[in-house]
Amino acid sequence: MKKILARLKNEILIYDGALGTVLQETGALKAGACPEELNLSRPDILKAVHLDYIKAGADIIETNSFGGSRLKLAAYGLEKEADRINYEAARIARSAAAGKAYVAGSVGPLDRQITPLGDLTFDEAVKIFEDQIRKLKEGGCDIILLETFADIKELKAAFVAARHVDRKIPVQAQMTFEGGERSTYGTSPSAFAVLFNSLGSDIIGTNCSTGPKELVKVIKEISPYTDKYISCLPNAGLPELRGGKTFFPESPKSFAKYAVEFAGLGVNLIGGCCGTTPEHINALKKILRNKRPAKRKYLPAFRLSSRTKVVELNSMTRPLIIGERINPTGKKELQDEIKSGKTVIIRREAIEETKKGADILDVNVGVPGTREQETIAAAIEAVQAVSEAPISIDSANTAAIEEALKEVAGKPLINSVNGEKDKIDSILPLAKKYGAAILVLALDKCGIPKDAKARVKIADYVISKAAALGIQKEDIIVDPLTLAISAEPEQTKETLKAIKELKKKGYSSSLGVSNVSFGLPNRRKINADFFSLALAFGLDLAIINPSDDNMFWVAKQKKKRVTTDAEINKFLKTALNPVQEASRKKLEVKPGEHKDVKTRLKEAVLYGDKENIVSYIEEALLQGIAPLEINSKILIPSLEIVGEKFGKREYFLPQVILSAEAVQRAFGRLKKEIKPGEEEDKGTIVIATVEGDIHDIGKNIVISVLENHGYKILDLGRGVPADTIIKEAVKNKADIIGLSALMTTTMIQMERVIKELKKKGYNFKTIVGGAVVTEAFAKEIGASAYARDAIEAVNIVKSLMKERR
Amino acid sequence: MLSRLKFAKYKTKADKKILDFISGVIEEGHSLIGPKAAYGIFDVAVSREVVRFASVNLTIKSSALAKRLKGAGRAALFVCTIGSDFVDMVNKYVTKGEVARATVLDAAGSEAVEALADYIDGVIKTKAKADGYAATARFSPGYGDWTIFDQVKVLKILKSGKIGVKATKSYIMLPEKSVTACIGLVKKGQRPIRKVYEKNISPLKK
Repeated sequence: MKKILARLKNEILIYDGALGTVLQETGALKAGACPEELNLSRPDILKAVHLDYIKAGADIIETNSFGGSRLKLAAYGLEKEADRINYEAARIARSAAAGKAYVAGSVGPLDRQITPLGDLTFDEAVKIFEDQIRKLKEGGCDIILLETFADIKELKAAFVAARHVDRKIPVQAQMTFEGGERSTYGTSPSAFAVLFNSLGSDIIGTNCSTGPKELVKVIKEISPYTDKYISCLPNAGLPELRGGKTFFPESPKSFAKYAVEFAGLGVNLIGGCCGTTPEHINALKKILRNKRPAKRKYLPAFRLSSRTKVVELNSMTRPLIIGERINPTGKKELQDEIKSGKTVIIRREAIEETKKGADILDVNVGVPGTREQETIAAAIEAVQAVSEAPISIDSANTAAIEEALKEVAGKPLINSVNGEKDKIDSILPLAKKYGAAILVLALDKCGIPKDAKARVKIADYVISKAAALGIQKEDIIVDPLTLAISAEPEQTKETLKAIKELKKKGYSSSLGVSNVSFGLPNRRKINADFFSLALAFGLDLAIINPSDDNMFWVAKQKKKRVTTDAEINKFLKTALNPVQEASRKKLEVKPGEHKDVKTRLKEAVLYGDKENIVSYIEEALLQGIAPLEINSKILIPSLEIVGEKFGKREYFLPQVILSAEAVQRAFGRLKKEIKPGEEEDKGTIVIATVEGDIHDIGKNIVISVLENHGYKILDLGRGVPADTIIKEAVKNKADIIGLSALMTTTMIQMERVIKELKKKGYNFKTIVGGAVVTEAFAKEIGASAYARDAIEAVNIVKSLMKERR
Repeated sequence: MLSRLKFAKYKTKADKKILDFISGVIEEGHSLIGPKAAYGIFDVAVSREVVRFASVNLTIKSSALAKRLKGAGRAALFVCTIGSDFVDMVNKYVTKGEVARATVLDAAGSEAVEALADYIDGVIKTKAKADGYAATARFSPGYGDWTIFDQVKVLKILKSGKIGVKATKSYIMLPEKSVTACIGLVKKGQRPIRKVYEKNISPLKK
């Protein structure tokens, strides 16, 4: 028999239809039983079904091994039989095919998700798929069919496994898309096509879903992004329950009609999934007889993808922006975070860069003394969780690059490879294996060549090596290197010339633009000027700081500039001899300056203006208003208004707290003016979150409000044992003990404190509060009072203090 | 989110400054979320007051849960969390005296973990539907008569340590922004007919 891929050049091949639904009808497969077990117990039935499909006209039959992974078989206690089940699956199909049909080894998802969706590691998944695929191949499969995948990362693991088993065996990768738009985990048909085209899957396609109609949409979306063969194996429509039986609405006739549409779209392999029968396949065969797949149009371009999205370099999108901020060089805070294994800053930067408009996010976590293999995987997981932008893996560590490649749920860029032999030998095969694009730095073991020609030569060399491995030209970006003009101004010409040279050869280029201004003042201006010049010379991508709006402005503007030496000289002259800009300070008039200071202070409290309140206090003091007067005549009455507004629900919680924080700042300033003894002693409160409880936001809100009303507060923190609370209350001659708890399991600790107080004969007033605490509970445990919120606490404390004194 | 902060729709007058402040905090919150979840689906036996998960040796005495799981042959248990970075940042603001920021961020965290629980709920529902089951509304330990003490058992069954969730001696989950819940799964077409009026009618008959 002719090889399967050779036949696809001129023919449409027909796949068989459903196995599971047909097996159920024969009665051999009981409800709830393992379909793959039949490979051992009923090979005769399976062979009969295969033969039916071949007779109906199927060119390719699928083995009964969709759920044959060790993990799925374990659900039936059959994991020990996994090898035999898969081997037999292929043997049975092989003997049915008997030279008249091809055998496709069917491999489905594991039903246990890979990280971050689940707890299975990428390597574990690869191993499980590998075991299954090896047995299918040994049993005699012509092609490996990876089908019905919803998680692109899992499909990637299966693909890598298939290549581990045999580098040459044809692989057909298929995902299933809900409503023809996205997979369950968000992957679009185009993002899927971009990655698997780059991985080098021989056939890319789709199966299952809701029926042939939706798959028309999927095929249309996949088609522009791949020059591989396309397959389409739809369901016979969405199953309906009719008279207690599952019924698929598409008849063989209606089903076959869609096949003609698929052929017209250039689909090379057509067959059926759930609900299709030998009749459906026979109808396909008849209608497609002598039909050839339509020619498809595929335009090669530099493309990257994330789990959900495709980024393409074309005249509309040029230049693509690579965000450079996730990089610890010179960033102490980020270095510390990477060392501690956290990803808060990384996520924040990723969100920020994406919002600013970065097309691709560069991820670099190289910090000496850390295990980069682990930190880069964690960083990429974090970035992918918050951003749809594809990733550029920026590392000098080959092992870290491979871990990163496993983690990425799309087609990334590897930043970078250069002309050094060991880099070429280690990184290019990784790019090929995981379907990544690469950034080539135009340098080698001798360093950066002085002229443009030599830089282009290095690029040529690396690209020829890549081509030998099957990496496409459009997947390669060359960085001819930006050097600091402060050190070597003449080099600018070579860099820019190299861009032009590369473009002529059909290579795309990228630059780390901001290097140009290193060591100079006025960097942003120089960067922008150089960027616009580089764009004129033909730059395609730029690694920049997306927060620099100037750069985006330049990128969007696409200013026409001449690409002559004179223009370069002009740039160098302005950059190196900057005219010192006169520092013009604008006279800033703060809003509300015209109002008198008392009004402004009052408003600062009402609107929680933390930033300005201290300066208003200064002003008031300068005007000779007494500190105590400021306090009692302005701040406290304003706070009371805030309390009232909260009571009427005109204000909500953040407004109250911001006001309290503003007043706290004001007090902080006023305290310096008030002489000791002059301040009125309003009473002391010891306050704590009880033992076992860790919540203290509510408690802190109460503290900041009470403090503003002049009480001395001693905050014991959270999880404080009864003994400590009592001891501190005695020591500090407290008037009141405040207790906070959020949980039913911890509020019982309040009772302990109060009992203990009674036992020891102390007569502190007690006030309790917290989410689950109620007035009734407070009474029951014998607390002096209960306060629902901070504002209520102020009034209650006032009356409790009266009772005390 | 706003109602958590005691915002009253028709009464509260929030100016742009405060709303900007809140949306800024929410945005910060986005970068602090590290969502993780674990779930398991088990066969259950439901009686009037007890739900038994035989395969994992868990017995829950709660008529509130049993009522919600009436007719269910299976039940899903799940735990989800937005991770410790979020809570750490809230505490950092508390320590720095930025209580307003801490309060708003804390509320955003509660909202986020609820949204995550809704999402996990949806994942389980979709899976159940594919297996021919309908899902009931989710219910958590600490509500009704389902004691919070059972939370520890649920966490253990789900091996929650793997996603970084544990419980303190006082049954508080760490990180605090975590949720555990149970969802009943009823085989389609087998759902019992609710007899709502039974209790009211019977005395009349007498």
